[in-house]
Amino acid sequence: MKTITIEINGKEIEARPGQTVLEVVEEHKLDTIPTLCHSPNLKPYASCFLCVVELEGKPNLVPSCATPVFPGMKVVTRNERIEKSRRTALELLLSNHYADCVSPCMEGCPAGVDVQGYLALANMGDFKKAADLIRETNPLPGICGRVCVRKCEVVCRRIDVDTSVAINDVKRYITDSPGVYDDDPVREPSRGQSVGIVGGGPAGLTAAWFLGKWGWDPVIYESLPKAGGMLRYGIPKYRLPWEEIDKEVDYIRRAGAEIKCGVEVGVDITLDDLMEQHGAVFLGPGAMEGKGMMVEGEKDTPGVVIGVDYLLEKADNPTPTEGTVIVIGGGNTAVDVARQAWRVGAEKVIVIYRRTRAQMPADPQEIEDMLEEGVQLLELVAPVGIVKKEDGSLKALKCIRMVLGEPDASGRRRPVPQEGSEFDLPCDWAMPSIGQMPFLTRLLKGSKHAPKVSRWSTFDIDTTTMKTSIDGLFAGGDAADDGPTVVIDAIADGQKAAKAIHAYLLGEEIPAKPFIVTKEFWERPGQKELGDIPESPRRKMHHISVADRVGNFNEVATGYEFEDMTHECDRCLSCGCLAFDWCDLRLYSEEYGADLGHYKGKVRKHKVDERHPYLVYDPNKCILCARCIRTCEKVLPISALGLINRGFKTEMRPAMNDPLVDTSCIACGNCIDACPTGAILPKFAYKSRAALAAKPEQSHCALCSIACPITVNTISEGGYYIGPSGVAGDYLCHDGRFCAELFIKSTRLVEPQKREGMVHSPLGHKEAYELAAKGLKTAVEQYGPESVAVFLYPDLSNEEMYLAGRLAREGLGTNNVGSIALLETGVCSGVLDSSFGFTASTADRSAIRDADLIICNNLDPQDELLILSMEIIDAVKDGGAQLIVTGSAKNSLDDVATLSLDPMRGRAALMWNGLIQRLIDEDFFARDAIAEMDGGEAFLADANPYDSSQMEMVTGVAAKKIEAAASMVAKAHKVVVIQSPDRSHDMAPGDVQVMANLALLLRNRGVRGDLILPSLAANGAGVEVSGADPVFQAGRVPVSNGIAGARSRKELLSMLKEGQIKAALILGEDPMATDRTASYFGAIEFLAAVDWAQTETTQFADVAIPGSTFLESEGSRCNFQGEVVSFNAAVETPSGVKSWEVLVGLAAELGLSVGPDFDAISAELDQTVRDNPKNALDLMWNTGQDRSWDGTGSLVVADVEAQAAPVLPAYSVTSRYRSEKLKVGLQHYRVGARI
Amino acid sequence: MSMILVGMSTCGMSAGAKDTYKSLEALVEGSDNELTFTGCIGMCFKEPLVEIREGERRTIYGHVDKKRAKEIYETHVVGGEELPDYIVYQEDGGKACGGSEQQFLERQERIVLRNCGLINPESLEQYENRGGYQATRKALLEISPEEIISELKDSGLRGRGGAGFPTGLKWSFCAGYESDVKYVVCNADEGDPGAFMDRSVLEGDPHAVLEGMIICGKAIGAAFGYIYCRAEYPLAIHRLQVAIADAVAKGYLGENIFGSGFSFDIKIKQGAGAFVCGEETALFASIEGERGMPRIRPPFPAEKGVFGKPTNNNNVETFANVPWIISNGGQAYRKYGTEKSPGTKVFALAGKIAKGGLAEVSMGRTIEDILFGIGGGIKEGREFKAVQMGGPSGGCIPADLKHTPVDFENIPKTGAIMGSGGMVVMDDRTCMVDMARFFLDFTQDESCGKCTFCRIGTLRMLETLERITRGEGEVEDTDMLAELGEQIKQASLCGLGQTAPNPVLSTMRYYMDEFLAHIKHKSCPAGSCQALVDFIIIEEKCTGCGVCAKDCPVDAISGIKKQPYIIDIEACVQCGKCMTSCAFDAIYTVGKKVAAS
Repeated sequence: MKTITIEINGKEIEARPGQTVLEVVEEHKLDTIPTLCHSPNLKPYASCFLCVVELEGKPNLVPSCATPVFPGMKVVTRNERIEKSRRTALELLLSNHYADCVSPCMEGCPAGVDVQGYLALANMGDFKKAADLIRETNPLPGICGRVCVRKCEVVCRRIDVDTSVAINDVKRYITDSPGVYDDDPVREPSRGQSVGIVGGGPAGLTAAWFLGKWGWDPVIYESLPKAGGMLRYGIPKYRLPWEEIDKEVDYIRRAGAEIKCGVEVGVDITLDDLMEQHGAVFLGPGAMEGKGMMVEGEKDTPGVVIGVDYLLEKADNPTPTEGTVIVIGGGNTAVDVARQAWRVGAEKVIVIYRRTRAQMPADPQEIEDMLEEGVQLLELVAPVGIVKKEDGSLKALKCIRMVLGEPDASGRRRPVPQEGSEFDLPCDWAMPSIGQMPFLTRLLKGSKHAPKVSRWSTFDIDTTTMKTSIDGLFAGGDAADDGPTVVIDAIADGQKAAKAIHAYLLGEEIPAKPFIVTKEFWERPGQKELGDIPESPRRKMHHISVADRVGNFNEVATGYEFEDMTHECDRCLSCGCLAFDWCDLRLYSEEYGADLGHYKGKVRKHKVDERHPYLVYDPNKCILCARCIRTCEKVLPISALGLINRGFKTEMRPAMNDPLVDTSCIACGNCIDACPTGAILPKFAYKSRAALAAKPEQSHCALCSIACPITVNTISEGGYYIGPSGVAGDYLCHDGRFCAELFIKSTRLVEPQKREGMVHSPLGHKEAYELAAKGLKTAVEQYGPESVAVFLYPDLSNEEMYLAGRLAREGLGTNNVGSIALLETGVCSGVLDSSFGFTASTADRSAIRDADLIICNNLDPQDELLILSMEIIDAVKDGGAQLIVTGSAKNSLDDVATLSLDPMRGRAALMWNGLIQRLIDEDFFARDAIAEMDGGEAFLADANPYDSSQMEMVTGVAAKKIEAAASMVAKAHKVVVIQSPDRSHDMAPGDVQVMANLALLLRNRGVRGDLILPSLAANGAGVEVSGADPVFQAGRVPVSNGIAGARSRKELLSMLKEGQIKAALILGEDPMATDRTASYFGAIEFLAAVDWAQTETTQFADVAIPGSTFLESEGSRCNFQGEVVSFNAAVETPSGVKSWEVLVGLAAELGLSVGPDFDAISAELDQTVRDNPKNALDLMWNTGQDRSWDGTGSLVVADVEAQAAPVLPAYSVTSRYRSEKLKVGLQHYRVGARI
Repeated sequence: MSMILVGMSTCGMSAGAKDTYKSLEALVEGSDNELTFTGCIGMCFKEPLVEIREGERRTIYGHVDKKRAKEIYETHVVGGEELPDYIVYQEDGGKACGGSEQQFLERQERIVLRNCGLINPESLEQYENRGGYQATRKALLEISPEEIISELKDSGLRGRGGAGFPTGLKWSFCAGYESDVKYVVCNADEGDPGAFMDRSVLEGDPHAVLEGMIICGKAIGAAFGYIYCRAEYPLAIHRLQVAIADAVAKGYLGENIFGSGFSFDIKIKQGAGAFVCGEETALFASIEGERGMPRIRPPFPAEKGVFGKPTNNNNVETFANVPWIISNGGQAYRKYGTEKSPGTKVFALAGKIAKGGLAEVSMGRTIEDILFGIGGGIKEGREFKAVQMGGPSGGCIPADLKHTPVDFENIPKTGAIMGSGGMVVMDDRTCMVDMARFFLDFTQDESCGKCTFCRIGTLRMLETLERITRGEGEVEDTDMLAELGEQIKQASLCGLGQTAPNPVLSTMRYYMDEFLAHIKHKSCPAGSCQALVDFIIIEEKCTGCGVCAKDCPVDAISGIKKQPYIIDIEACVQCGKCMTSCAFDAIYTVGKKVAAS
């Protein structure tokens, strides 16, 4: 092809005419141009204006996606002006993007824990994954699950519905679950450099966790006997058992951290030593120095004990405390001290606090528990002095009453002493618990590396880099910056420090926080927006009784039950966006440094549309790129989506602004893939919604014979969804995309079962095989091999069908193998063998695109074969092809069809035969030329007897229409006939042969005529080649004479109908589900069934063995265009045994040696097929040869006499899923999961 | 016997021409005088207009209501005595000879409006009597398509829709594409606020437009034409329907016109009044039944337009010029106008102009000449501040530049554009910030919503302007407006977005101090932005009735009955209630007098 020379960024490039600038830039990898509205599958649209570039000679910037190349053009793809314009475009889009990239709980958590994500995983029952997700940001989930102050819950949106989700309690449930700490954390290979960490509290442990995982060798120096810091020595065991701490410390150790306990830095080793030994040092010594009451005599009065010291002392040594204890303070420490004292024998415990209960910083639940335990609380009381006994010991605490005055800087009302209200509070112990501070004296004394310390004796640090004033020395936790806070803040510090140290050691920049948008930027959504959500009260934490708490340190809170946990997970509103990881708007905003607030102004707020059973549309996230609309236009003759309103008020809305579910939407979900921002998202077949990492696995779909490539994205066991291959131009239909619901929600058969009377009992696989083999063999012995049969649904893999065929013939000695579904259609084996010499599509799908006349006979492409339908629509709308659809019912392509023919059911063949006759009569097909063709004379002799008006009478199609169709055929240059060979509805006897005749006649006239045969059953084309047919053995080898049983489908069907089959093995078919086919089994004496779901047939079977779905097993299938397509086991099969393995097991019991492994079976079948040369093998099997048909064959006198075929039932679970969708519409399939 | 003509275009009708016509009808009945109606002659400010035509003598009376109609009929038509007081224009033997508004018409040069106001637009016969369909006959029978195009090229006619693309060249592009089907599209979707040239032509001389289209069809090889007319022009649509039906009946449209073998059909497509449908690709989408949204060019309409077929699109005025050019020759056309902008242009004078109406003049006449020479200057003798040209895509030209010649070369230099011919005149009471806000509000509403910059950017500019007019502006706002305005222009798909910021940018260019007065001094110098004005009572007008004081919600008005009242500016909250309640127009606004901050 001629190329044209253009210049991009000063570089000469050869481009092809018709290419756009964007295409050329992408092809030659000259730059990465951002774009939101462009998609390689769609025509240029140019609305987002992100892809702008400079074009010499043009004053304006031009959208590169829509600018075609022309010779000599000069383009610049990046400079300040362009980048600014792109940034502005992003900022404008963001200014009207009322959405949450992440949930408020995640934003609210100082450590940034993905709350929505772990709730989702917990709800799916995957606690290990949930724990791992938490540990990506917080290595102490078990500890936090007990003692966290729950900043996440404070900002939970659910508060505006009823109460916040019990996030922390679910977290505890997760870490209490078995197996969560069993594995060794995954660690990057050691980088050979160590990091010193001073202090084994939450900050130090967290830093060590991350550094260890990233391949550094962290060494923790802990002065106390065990790691944990305040967690262990500041929080009593009844709240946080030591085993929990040990569990997590141990897990951190397994991530590579060395923990040296009983080593005090500054005493046992100096900071300077550490600086010398390690690549970097993190200081997290905490703040364990308790503050006093600032009253005279407190330091030298026995009985006055600092609260934290008391906790430390009692931590591992719960010796009794007798008498009356007064605890001074209102924080968690004060409460802990009081409850500790109560537990070790204090007769009376009083907490005094200078404000009121409402202002106490302690966790309200803890206060309530404390009061429940009998501790007294004196509000508005402060200590002013100490009253000593004569012996100098404590007699009483002198207190003063307070009143609340004006609010102070913290916003709380300041307590003011009430003059003259002093009183003595007699006591044996006074325990001030009013705050702590770091103690750094010993640590820093004489160190060359002593960093700057603030006047609150905390380390002075840069809070973004966690750096102290000394290079290589970092600090965090209670000892840094603003002093003591809560556990999660220390964890956040440790995480931040680890990132900073990691970057420091690598000499890199600390990665920036991801760009995010949250609704709070405009306004917290509040009740108005959430009003529709029904209330659902929060579950309470379970506690042991007060009586059970006396004198011991048993954990008070006992955790959630499973139902509590799922209830809370279900309450999650899933605020964060599922598209977080791939939202182009977010990613580009990050890349271009967009400022969310730059163009802040009016923002449109919309209701999220959740009415569609499969889709969620959030107009707030829509950026009006119209990719969904343009995609929908490719799928449907008339798009279900459109734009309404003008200006800023423009919106993407379903047609007529109806709910999407009420439009012509067929729920194919291709709009989901088209959307760059997550405005259209799928509903999932599993519970819960969050942006979770998925493991993608490529395979193919086996719901119809197109066998589209798919990606199976597994979130967790039992939770997966299906998407397209990801290759531009690949689409999916509804069934392919959403069939996961079928597999996830159906009742699976998970273990083999036998039936005795009405009783089903489980049994092992081996036993099941024995039982099945025995039953079948018994029948062979009793009634002869012709009385047993193997039935299978033609969506099984080639390998499964091959095994089934061998099992029947070699294992049971019968030729009775076939599909009841196929038997019932009445189509004989090798239906086109007499016409073409083979039975397969004569061309691949590219013929559709090339055709100027497309004839769809006996199928409704949109309903049944959407992906082919899209190619047809494309050929018609874009390629200008003409389209004739034939069918007795309304066809969904009527709107784009040039001509719709509606013969009475069963009379299509007659109509086409008449049309051919007409073309012969008009001499379009010359008689003498026909006479010279194979079978020509006989064909001519069997002239269609009807004239036009009679044709109209017998077919019901207006003569004018047949005339018009004939003249369209006569004018065409490339004709392709698409015909479903196994669709019972509308099937007319002989119509496949008639269409073959048409193709042959056209070819004979030099017109390209092709026949494409998409089976509705996924592997209809594989049945004969794999040998699962009474006429053909594997490799399509005709059956030899020496074997018992039927010789044709017709014969097998009549044997079945007449009750001659006494025992059968049924694979994947469900004949018991409908009366018509169930009646065939009246005389059955033994039935074995293999299926992945529980069906009526497996219920009825004497032995039922679980099989695998197409997602769960490797295998190959023949698609409609004669390619052998391979399938992968993308998902684990619940029973652990795949269908082909079951067949191998059965074969072994029947004394047949197959396998041993899948590859061997597959290779054997492949060899068998290739070793049996036959006509046009390359059109049926992957032979490596070009797929082409020479156009020769024989004209056949087809039996076209009018005879309506019955409308047949669905024969398998999958086919029922497909056909019911057509019958009842989308509503029926509303997925239960709340989103 | 006299012929009585009543001006019955939309302008006349809205002034009451229907009643005038009815009363004349009753009077004429039984006499040998003939009553008919005609289109807009341009003097909209004098509507309803009634012309008495006696042979070569034409006498046009202005403001003719029922009563005056009777008087004129009885005195002039029956009595033979003219009523000089009411005469706005008089002509004898084609020469102006009197009337109060003689100069309004006398100073014009009429090619497009050659028949407007002279003939009954619903009478094909009258059109034919003035040479109608002779150009078509010539184009179909006497000259070749190439000659049509070369005649147009000779004339130098440039598209009157606003962009000024040479029409002959445009036709030659479309003629150059091979296709079995081509289309001629007439853009009658006139949407600029204050513009009504095309409407007047359609209402006054519809056949001229049909002729232009037929000739175009012949030139480019199209057999089908669409007139895309907004549904808000029901009278224009009606007259077009009548004209098409008459032309079809007469064989000027349809099969084998003039036996030339050339066939042409025209269909009217009514638009729903979306401004963006004036953009040709959006207009095409609308004709095709799609949402009116612009499409990417290339492919250009000449290659792929309506239904993907080669299409030539011109506006009403352009087509109305065509028959004249074909009849009189391109060179004759060049006698009008300037070298680079030949011919005449119709302008709609609106806003604070004394004589609002239609004026057709040669290109190159100055703004002053048009506004003062023809339009009679500013209403109520106020000060001329600026003229807005080109509608929402255009800009403001300040009084200082009133000597600028109006043509395709000179107007763009001022920051405005020629546009389709709307001239909105502003006086010293017009706030330029508010004016910019008005136009931006219009474009924001009318944006099709496709492009990011146009959809959201214009709103952000509008919000900023609104803040400024409320007195909440900040100094950085002008930079933001300038910067974002430039970016919107650079990165929008169609003309609407590419020009939407123009009114803002051009007003900022000339009236920055007015912006700064709003922002820094929180004062609107024109006394227009309510939050930024002081309300004062004009002593001379105040009768001391006290109604304002009673209505004032904050008791800021005080006074003694029958003596002028006073507003306490400190106490006033600028609610404007007093102004509405005053029956004597005694309350006035001036820019807030606040010391510079």
